[in-house]
Amino acid sequence: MKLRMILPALLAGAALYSAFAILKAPSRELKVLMDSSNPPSVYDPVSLGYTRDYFFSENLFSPLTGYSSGNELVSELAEKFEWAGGEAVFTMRPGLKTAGGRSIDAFDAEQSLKRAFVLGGTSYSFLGRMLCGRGSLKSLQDPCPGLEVRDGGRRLVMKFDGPKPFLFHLLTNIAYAVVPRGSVDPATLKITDYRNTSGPYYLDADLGLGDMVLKGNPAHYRYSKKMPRQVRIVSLKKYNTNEESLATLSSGTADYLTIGLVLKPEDKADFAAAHPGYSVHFTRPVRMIYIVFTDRGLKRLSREERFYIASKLRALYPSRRRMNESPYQLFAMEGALSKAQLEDIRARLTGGPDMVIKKRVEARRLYSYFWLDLDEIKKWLPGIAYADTAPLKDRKNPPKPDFFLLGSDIGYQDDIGLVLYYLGLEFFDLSPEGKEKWLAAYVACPGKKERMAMLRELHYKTLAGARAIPIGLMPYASIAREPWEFNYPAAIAGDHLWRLRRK
Amino acid sequence: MDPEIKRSVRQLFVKFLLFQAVIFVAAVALSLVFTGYFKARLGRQLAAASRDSLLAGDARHVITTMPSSMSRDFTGMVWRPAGQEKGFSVPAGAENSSGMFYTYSRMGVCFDEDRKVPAGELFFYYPRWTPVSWGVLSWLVIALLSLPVALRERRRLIRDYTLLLDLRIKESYSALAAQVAHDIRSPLAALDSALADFSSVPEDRRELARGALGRIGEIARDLLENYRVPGAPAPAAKAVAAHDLKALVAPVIAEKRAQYSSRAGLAIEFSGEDGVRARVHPAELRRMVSNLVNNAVEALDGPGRVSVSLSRGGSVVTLKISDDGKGIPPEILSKLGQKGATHGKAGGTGLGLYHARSCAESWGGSLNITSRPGAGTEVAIELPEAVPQAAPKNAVLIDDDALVRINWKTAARVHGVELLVFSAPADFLAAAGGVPKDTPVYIDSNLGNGIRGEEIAVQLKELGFTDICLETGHAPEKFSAINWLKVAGKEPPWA
Repeated sequence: MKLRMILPALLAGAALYSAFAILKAPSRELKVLMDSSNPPSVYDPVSLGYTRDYFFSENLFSPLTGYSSGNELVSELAEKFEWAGGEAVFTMRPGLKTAGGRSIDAFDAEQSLKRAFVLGGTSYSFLGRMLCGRGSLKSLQDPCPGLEVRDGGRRLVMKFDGPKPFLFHLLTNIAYAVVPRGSVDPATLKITDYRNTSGPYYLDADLGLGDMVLKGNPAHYRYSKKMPRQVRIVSLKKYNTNEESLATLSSGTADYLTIGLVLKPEDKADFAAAHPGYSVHFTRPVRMIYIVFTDRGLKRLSREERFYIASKLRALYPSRRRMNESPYQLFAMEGALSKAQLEDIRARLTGGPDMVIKKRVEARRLYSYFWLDLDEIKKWLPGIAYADTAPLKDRKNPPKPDFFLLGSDIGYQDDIGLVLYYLGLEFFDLSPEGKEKWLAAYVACPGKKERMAMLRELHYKTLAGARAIPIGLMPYASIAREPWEFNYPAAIAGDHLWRLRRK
Repeated sequence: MDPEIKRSVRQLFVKFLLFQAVIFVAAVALSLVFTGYFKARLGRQLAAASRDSLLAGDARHVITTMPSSMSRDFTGMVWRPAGQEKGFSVPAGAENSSGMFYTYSRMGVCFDEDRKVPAGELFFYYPRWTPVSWGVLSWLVIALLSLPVALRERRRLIRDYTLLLDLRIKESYSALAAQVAHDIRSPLAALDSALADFSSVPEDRRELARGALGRIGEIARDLLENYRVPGAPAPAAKAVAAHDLKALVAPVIAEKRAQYSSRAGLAIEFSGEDGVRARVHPAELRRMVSNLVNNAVEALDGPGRVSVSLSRGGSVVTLKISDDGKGIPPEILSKLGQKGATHGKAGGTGLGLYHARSCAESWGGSLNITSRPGAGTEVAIELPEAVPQAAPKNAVLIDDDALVRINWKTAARVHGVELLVFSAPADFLAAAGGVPKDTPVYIDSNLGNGIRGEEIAVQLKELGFTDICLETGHAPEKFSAINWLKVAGKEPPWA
């Protein structure tokens, strides 16, 4: 048979096969449901609060150092990070470019740090003072002698009086991400360009009302053909129940729910079990729910009453959460209590007599965590008041609370990062001056062992004084529609979309 | 030791040494490889555990925790950052460990997740020769364990070789015995037949000669039996048949008289009734009588009398051998007849009495010894009496051996049997029509030219013959598949 006779048939077959392969091929786009209708301009690594802030910053910006999926300290924008005496030398990756083609170098890293020192709060001021002196920076033009760019932008040097082992760990925090110089308004220091970012993704289109399109930056070292190359952010326009959020997966509205949506991990697990074709990633139990008594609460409620409130809430919390653990300490690893201290706290939380607290007690975010248990709570705390559900007009000047509930990530952080995070909250039983003093002494400790001893004592003081008490501990969970599968670290909470892999 | 055995043992020793050498090399090599592998694994774990501290610049943490982490697995650790001269070591000076005595596991540490940008290298030192000593120790254990095996193999080799030699010797004896036995039987049969015609020779002399010939024949059979080729089938069971005992015992007595004729004052008397019959094996009976007479003669210190009598009473036949010698003490008497028990004979084995008792019991009888010290001993053998059977008037023999045919013809003439003799089965088959079907037919089991006697027997059975017997030297079991077929020896049945 002559070739020209079978050639049309072969071509037709190849065309059909190609069409079939294209139709069958999974989409490179990932639709992510976001619990916010904010415009992109509100997202900034120096201003982090909610999980959505972390989500946006972690995908659009990269820090100098980071953690691998195996929880190891690894390079990010800095190809190398080394100590040369008291100098921390960061060698930037060669050929780093934004999606718009702008080079990213040590000058960008230097400006990002100075910008953070200018805009940031307590956590930044600590590092700022070490690098730039005691006077706080007011503008990017102010000198910072501890920061120096060398070799034409190839290296950033941070100068200290000696090696600071916490530094490279501290800089893994997305709060220290590099924001390219050209993307920042020099006057206001606000980020104005989300296209030229330092992260694996950039903002390709702002569709309004929180809807956006992110695209992968092929010049980025994290870019991979197997990761979602386009991310469509679908914002929630109204408050959703967990069931409604999960239903967006079934309806095809979303392919992925972040750790911040449907915080109850059991709901995601149950959904995936009932609906084949989804995979769920659970972190280790690193989401701590705790009760923090304010200065007002410390004055108005006795220590026994505070322990009693905490113990009752601890007893209620696991009833609807099968993945919950009930720890007796806030930090189980670095800064963990001694055995005797732990026994003391356990005894205080389990051995008290029953009581009815008839005082009026203002609570914040109680409704968010215990809306199904309010009648039960009122039996032993009839004077409970919570402004969470009050009409918006009445929430302009809410009364100061006696306590509030908080859920946050206590995952893998070096001790300095952990301490800075919690010092930023009204958490430890320290005055503002006390915080400064304690932190200075803490950082001055050359050995980690001594630092851990200091942290343990502060930890115990906070718990024994019933300032902050853990209520529950559970994992974070993300859920994705197949063919996407997770390659996320287990100890670190986050939605690092570039770590997703198409099967 | 036989040189061939020595050579084999030497070869076994060389093989053992080679095996030990291979095991030694393998044990040392495996110890080195496995130690290297496990040290590398352990080193990787330690490197992973200390990596973050090293990269973060927390040398103090590594230095304080590493000694306990290394435990006894490593003697030291050295950190060499990439591109920098100076790192540090735990303990200080570990990098100066002598290469002669220490080696190391080397672990690369990288800055990035893809492990492309090296940050430095970790060296975990451990003693170079410790794994070798472990290998040598392992080999020693194996060598010690294998030594008994080697010794056992050596013993087995010597034993097998000795057995092989014995087998070869026995085979050569068997071949010789078979040859002698085969060659001697036919002339003996001829001599036996010829003796019948030696009328000029006195009858007692002829009997003596016949008895001697019979004994030579028995010796030939014993040669065949005792030196048969290992693994060869056992000979036919010794045929037990009804015999006139006087005819069997008288020649032995004559032989004994001749044997001891030079002994002064010794009288060997024999008295026996005619027609006393019992089912015995003739050769065994003759041997038994010969042994017992010998015993009686040896019990006499000087002149004396040995009496052999044969009598019957009721249905029992009694053969007595008595002497008037010194007698046997009662404590010895009870043990006699057991294997190895003897009395009064220098170098006696006790086999004679044991043989006599075994034979008597195997023929359905018994052996009793009575003795009085100083008065003499009497051995009494009681056997069931056999009712005499009349010899058939006619018989047929088919045998390709001419000597056998002559022997049978002679015996037939003596016993008044009209014997038809054929050398080939075809000859008989041609004449079979005129032979009554109840005539006993004796067929040689091996008729030459591949013709088997049992096949001819089957043909004759089909022709209607009812009394067919194979005459053979093989065991009857060989022909047990043909259940109606009788099996007898090569001797004429009327002897």
